[in-house]
Formats: sequence, C-alpha cells, structure tokens
Amino acid sequence: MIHLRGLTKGFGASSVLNAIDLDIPPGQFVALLGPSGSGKTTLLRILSGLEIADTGSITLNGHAAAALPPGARNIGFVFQSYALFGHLSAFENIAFGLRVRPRRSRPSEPEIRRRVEDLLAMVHLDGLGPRLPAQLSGGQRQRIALARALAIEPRILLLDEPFGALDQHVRASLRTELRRLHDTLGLTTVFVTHDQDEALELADRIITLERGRIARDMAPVAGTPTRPRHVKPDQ
Amino acid sequence: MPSDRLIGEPAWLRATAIAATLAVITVMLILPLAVVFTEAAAKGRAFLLAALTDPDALAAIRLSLLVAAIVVPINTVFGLAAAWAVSHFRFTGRGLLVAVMELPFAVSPVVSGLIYVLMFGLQGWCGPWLAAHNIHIIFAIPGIVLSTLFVTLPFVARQVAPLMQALGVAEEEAALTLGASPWHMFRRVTLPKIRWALLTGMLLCNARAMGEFGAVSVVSGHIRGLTNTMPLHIEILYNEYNLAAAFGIAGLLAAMAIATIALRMALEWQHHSSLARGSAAIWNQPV
Repeated sequence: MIHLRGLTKGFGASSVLNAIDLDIPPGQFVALLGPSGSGKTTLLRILSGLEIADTGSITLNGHAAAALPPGARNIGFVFQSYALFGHLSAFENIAFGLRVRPRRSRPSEPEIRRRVEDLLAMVHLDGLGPRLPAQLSGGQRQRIALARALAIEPRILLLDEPFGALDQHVRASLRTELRRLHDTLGLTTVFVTHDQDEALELADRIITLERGRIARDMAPVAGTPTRPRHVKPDQ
Repeated sequence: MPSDRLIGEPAWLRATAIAATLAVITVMLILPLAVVFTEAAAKGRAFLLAALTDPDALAAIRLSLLVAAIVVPINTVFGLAAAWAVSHFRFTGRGLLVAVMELPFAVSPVVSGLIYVLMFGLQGWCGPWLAAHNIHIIFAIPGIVLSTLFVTLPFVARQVAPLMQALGVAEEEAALTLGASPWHMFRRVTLPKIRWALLTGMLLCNARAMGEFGAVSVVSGHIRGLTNTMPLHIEILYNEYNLAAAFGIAGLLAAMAIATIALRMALEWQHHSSLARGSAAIWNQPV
C-alpha cells in the first residue's frame, strides 16, 4: 500500500530525513513517534505531497507517487491546527473536496448533501452543519476536519498530531472513534504523535524516528503495552 | 474583550490627546476641504457646471478616469502576485524585494516621472529607437499611465502581503490535499480571506491614480485636451488666475476622494470584524 525507498530530505544544509525505507501494508494503523525535529511531520508531508523529497521513491497503491500533486494522491490529511476553512460552515468544509472536483466526476447537489450528512453523523455531529468553525469546540473542529478528510473517500489517512491541542477527556473519545473509523472504512492510517501512550493505545505498529532515521519499528502487545516486541517491518 | 482604556490612564491625557488630534484634523484637513467646496460653489451652480463641462475639463476628467481604469487592474494583479510571492515563499532576495516594493512611496513622484523621461524621452536610452518607430510615450498617454503605475505600485501589495503572511498556509494546504486546483484554492480559500484588504488597496490605488500630480506632471507635456489629467488641469486654471474654475474641478476631485473613503468606511462598517482583523495584521506585521 505504502512503499518508501531511500527517502531523503534536507532543508538548506540540515538533513531532516535520511534514506528512509518503509513498507506499510493495507489496513495497518501506524503511529510515527519521535521527539520534535526527528522528521516525523516532514515524512507525513512528503507522503501527502505537501513537501517534495530530495531523493527516493514513493509508491502508493502500486503507483509511483513522488511526482503527483497532493490532490491526485487520494490521501486524507488531518492537520494539528485543524486548518478548517474559517469562512465556510462545517457542512461546506466537509463538502469542499467534492465541490472542487472536475465537473464530470463531481457528485450532484443532492448526492453531496447526502454524503456530507452521512459524514456528519459518522463523527457524531448531526445538526451542526450550519455552524462556522469559530462556533465549534476544539474537539468538534477536529471531528469536522476528520470528516472533511474522509469526504474524498481516501484509501490512506494521514494525521499530524491531530489531538495535540485537546484536553485528555476529548482526546480519549476521539482516539476510540478514530480507531473505529479506521477499522470500519478499511483505511491505511499513519498517525504522527509525540505521546507514547496514545501510540500504544491506537496503533498496530509504532515507528520511532530519531534524527531523520527509523530508530525502532515495533508492534505493541496487548497486556504489556510498555514493552512492545520487535516485528519485521514487512510483517 | 480587553478594555480600550489603560489602567491608571489619567483623564486629562485622554482629553488632551483627543482634543489635539481633532484640532489638527480640523485645521489641516477639514477646513481646507470646506474652503475648496465653498469656493467651488461661490459663483453659483451655472458657473460650476460650465467649468466642469468645458471641453478641456471634460477631456481631463476622461483621461483621469482612463488612467485609473488601466492602472488599478494592473496594480491589483501585480500586488496580488507580489504579496503571494513574499508571503508564501522563502527565496534569496525576498527581503530586498519587499524593500524595493516600497520604493515608490519613498521616492519623490517628480523623480519617478523623470525616470521615465530618462528612459523613453528623446534624449533618453530608448528615445531614438522609439522615435524611429513612431512610438510616443513621453508627452503622451502611455507615459502618464506608466508613471501612475509606478507611483501606485505598492498600494495593493502593502495591504494584502501582511495579511497573507498572518493567515499562514494551513488552509491552502488543506485545500490542496482535498484535490483543489491552485485556481480553486485561490478562489475559494485565499480570496475570501483577503478580499477586504484587497478592496482597500484597490480603492487607495484608485484615489492616488486619479489624484497623482508630480510624476504625471513631468511626463505629460501639459497638452490641453490631450495629456492633461484633472490635477494638471487644476494647476493650469490656477496659474491663469481662473480660481473659480480651478476650485470647481478641485471640488470634483476632492469629492471623488471623499467618495472613495466613504465607500471604504461603508464596507468596513458592513464587514467590521473581517476588515478589523486585516487592519490589525497590517499594523502589527512588517511588510
């Protein structure tokens, strides 16, 4: 599903990613863990197409993707800062990815309406469609951002510290829902966090980056969450 | 909401500051404008109408409107492009570009006009070539348009760039990941956020384009009915001791400027919060 080979990225003189090789099979929920500056956000942005790697290859769903613009990768991206469109209602935020499609592949207005209502229900925000982002709580905003990313029916979902700005209680419930959505929609998910507990609770596999390299690659084991066992990357 | 008043601010300081500001504005701005309008009206409506419908006056008004109609769209596109470049990209020479963009504000308009005379005038760099090909820039409308373009270059960029910088790129990136084309991204995400700052820049650019005197004066040649804009026509009338007519045209020019400010205030009123955010960003951010 996601194959990375020799991915390298530098900003000016400093190297941010150093020859990353990574394979993520379909349906896996991967947490990218690491201290700030370890390159985890850069890796996520390269996957999404918002940054371009200096060297290396990216294969998504069997297609070479390194040269594809973000919109052509069929990837959902959730930002830490939500990045909701402040001038658009929650409904229009979710509908955005459908409305900007070329005319021939754009769903009809009733179809858009139906799909947005479904997505609002999926993130438990029925009835809040008319609200502007400023009229929503932090947790509600991130749910809208999640629904917006899922509206384009991506196979891959990327999240960049999505719950970092939220309080513990909201984080816990959003984690549960994210995992549920991942399982029911059959997504492949890459989740950047600096919170080890969050990674252990959510992920099938935890990859730790340090100074632009993969330092550890392991799967958490139920019952012994603090001492995960090693697995082979391709397992 | 934070209070407007600083804690411990003495009442007399507040009163003095407000009184001093009002006094300066009244003496320096409102009184002269009032004089312009009363002088314009002094000889009665029939005279005013005659002064405004004089063929040379009409030609000057038409030329001023034409220049504004050419300059404002060009500087809007340029201002947007420049603001986009300095707020979205880090590149070598970016700081220099921001500084150079301010140049028309720093340089005297007369110098701006002279630059074009030096470049395109008969004795200038391109002068002989232009003369050989029968292209007229200096003492013709292209020269007036060029020098007005130069003088009004910074208005839109200065309004829009700090706001774009303050807004950041997160929403634009979100639009891209959702499959928006760059045009869709600009049209549906960027433009709605900058539109009031953009409009303010365009209105200021328009007011200056119609009112510019110095730069235009150098390149125009003052040919009546052909290359006189409204400000130049006013000066000619004034130099001929035709004060009443001069004040008539000046009244019209001032009214156009006031209408521009009024339009801006009305928009600000209507979309208070959005424009206020833009203004705050303009004052707080270096360009």
